[in-house]
Amino acid sequence: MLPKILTNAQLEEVYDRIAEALDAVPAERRQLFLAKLALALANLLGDPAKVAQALEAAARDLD
Amino acid sequence: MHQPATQPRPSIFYRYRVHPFRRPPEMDGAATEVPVTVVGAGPIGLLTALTLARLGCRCVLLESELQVSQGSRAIVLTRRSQEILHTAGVIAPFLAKGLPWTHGRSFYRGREVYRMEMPHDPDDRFLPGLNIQQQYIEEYLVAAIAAEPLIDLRWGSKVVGLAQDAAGATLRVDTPEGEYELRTGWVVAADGGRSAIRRLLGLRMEGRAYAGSFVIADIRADLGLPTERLCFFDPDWNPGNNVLVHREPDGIWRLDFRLPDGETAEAALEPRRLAERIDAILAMVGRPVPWEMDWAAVYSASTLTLPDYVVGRTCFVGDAAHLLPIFGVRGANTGFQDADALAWRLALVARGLAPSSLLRSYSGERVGAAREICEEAGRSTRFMTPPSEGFRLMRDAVLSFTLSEAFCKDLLHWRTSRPHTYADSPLNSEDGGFEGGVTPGAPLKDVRLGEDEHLYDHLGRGFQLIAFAGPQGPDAALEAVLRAAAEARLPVARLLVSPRPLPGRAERVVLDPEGRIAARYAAGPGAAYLARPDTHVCARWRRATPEGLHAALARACGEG
Ligand SMILES: Cc1cc2nc3c(=O)[nH]c(=O)nc-3n(C[C@H](O)[C@H](O)[C@H](O)COP(=O)(O)OP(=O)(O)OC[C@H]3O[C@@H](n4cnc5c(N)ncnc54)[C@H](O)[C@@H]3O)c2cc1C
Repeated sequence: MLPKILTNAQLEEVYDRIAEALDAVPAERRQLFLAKLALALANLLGDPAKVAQALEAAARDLD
Repeated sequence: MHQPATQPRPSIFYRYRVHPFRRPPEMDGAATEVPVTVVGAGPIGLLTALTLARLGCRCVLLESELQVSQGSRAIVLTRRSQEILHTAGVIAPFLAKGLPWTHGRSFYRGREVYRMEMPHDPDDRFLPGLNIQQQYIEEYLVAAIAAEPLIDLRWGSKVVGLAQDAAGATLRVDTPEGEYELRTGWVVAADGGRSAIRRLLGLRMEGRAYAGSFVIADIRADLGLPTERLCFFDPDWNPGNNVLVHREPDGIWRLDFRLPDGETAEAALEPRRLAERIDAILAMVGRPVPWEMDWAAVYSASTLTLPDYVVGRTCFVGDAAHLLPIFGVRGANTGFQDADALAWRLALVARGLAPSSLLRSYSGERVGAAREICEEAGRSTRFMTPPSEGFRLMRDAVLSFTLSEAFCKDLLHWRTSRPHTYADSPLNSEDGGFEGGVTPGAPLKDVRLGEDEHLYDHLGRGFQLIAFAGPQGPDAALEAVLRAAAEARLPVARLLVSPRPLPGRAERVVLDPEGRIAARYAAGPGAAYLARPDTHVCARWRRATPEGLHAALARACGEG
């Protein structure tokens, strides 16, 4: 289970920010945008093991 | 000529009473002037009128219909609303009828993914939620008003014109027997979401409306489920949308679901289609039982407010002032706080006990509260009814995570309507160096004193001074403060909290042998709190003085 690091208020703000950023990107470019975002966040995180943990969590329950 | 419906509205659980229109004296040439006229006898207008009267202010209450709310509409009273009804002296029938609750559960893909516990303190008298239909809310308030000689409730009286001047306003009222004019010092616009007064004054609300539409349907069915709020995200029968289930008194259940995008209200309310969806919901909750329809309607969410609630001689409350999403039970509960915040001020102003500038702080406090609610409720609304693809993707991402991860589950809980703290109110005086307790602007905290006894039960009408005595009783300084309160120009109810019995006192004494009230208020001997008539604290002192009390009272009346 991923630890909870952001507070709810921060999470809510991030939620709105990403949603608005997604809306600002044309539909056919959203995948590219999300891949870039993930890469940038991984770099900021600075820990490949944590990235692997996040990848595993995100890969579950996709259908 | 105004012709309100004279047939009782249809309902399978509620017996509507049709009240008679009575010809008022103004129609036969009497030239009266009433201090305050409240327009609209929905929950908020009714409570405003009742609170005005309880504070000694006479008013006329004009209602265009002859009967209470069509349909159950607002069905949840928060703890704060219950406290407000309690201080207005009318809570008993609500508790006898309503269904209390404390938590909700949310489901996704057939699994319970979130449990919402509403905060509850053992010192609170009331549970966080009380489910009761709006018809009963209005009926009980109407009954209390019938026993109140200072209120003249006029059914079948529709306001169709309003002219304001510096000294008051003239209302044109249409009735089943024709029109008349009513001269009044002040107008309270409590005429609901489609406010005629808002329109007559040419006022516009600010904010946004959301596109998604929801159906609410009340059915009678024997579901045998407890009182809790159930929420289902993305059920098979309604992909991408959500369903809410609430229990109401009289064996009624509220079903609330979002419509697929683009579907019209007419299509959604078409009986066969509606019945299929209700069957699907009952199958989803595992109770595919027979049911009977009471009432259904379509609504959409808005976060809209007037920028100012006082315009000339007119004060806005409730849905006439703002339209808020009902997620988090904001409709009537926000309005009750408006009524509570306005009525005491208007009573003082109309009775000439305070300057009319006092009303500015009503607008400041409540517009501020509404804007905060718009911001918060906007978030819940964007989760429940994503306005765009970006928000839909984010909502789906959070839901998917809830099946295996906990870090973002709290986003499933839209914040519930809560009492507002008027921390920045100009009516607050300086805060005398307390550690903890109740800060100026916040409502008084209740304290449990016995099996069926709470601090709120002892509150009087008007301003409230709560003074804390030591084991020897009040010292000379506190005696002077109590005397100053008794002799103040405005009514101040006095409550003396004492660890030991104090016979023969003029004040009401509350025994606090274990110091539980003192602890909750962080108050030692000689301390005092001053609360406004709406029970929000406006000043407190570790060592109170008569001068401090006088200054705080003047400030709280808009004279500071
Ligand atoms: C279909 C529907 C469903 C809702 N569901 C919920 C819910 O589930 N939960 C929730 O919290 N809230 C709900 N609400 C909102 C809730 O009903 C309101 O927030 C609440 O009733 C506001 O009370 P009010 O007194 O301000 O206005 P209202 O209850 O609308 O009362 C206004 C009163 O003014 C009268 N009036 C109007 N015009 C005039 C005039 N010109 N002259 C004289 N009288 C006039 C009307 O007849 C009415 O009695 C719902 C509202 C609607 C319409």
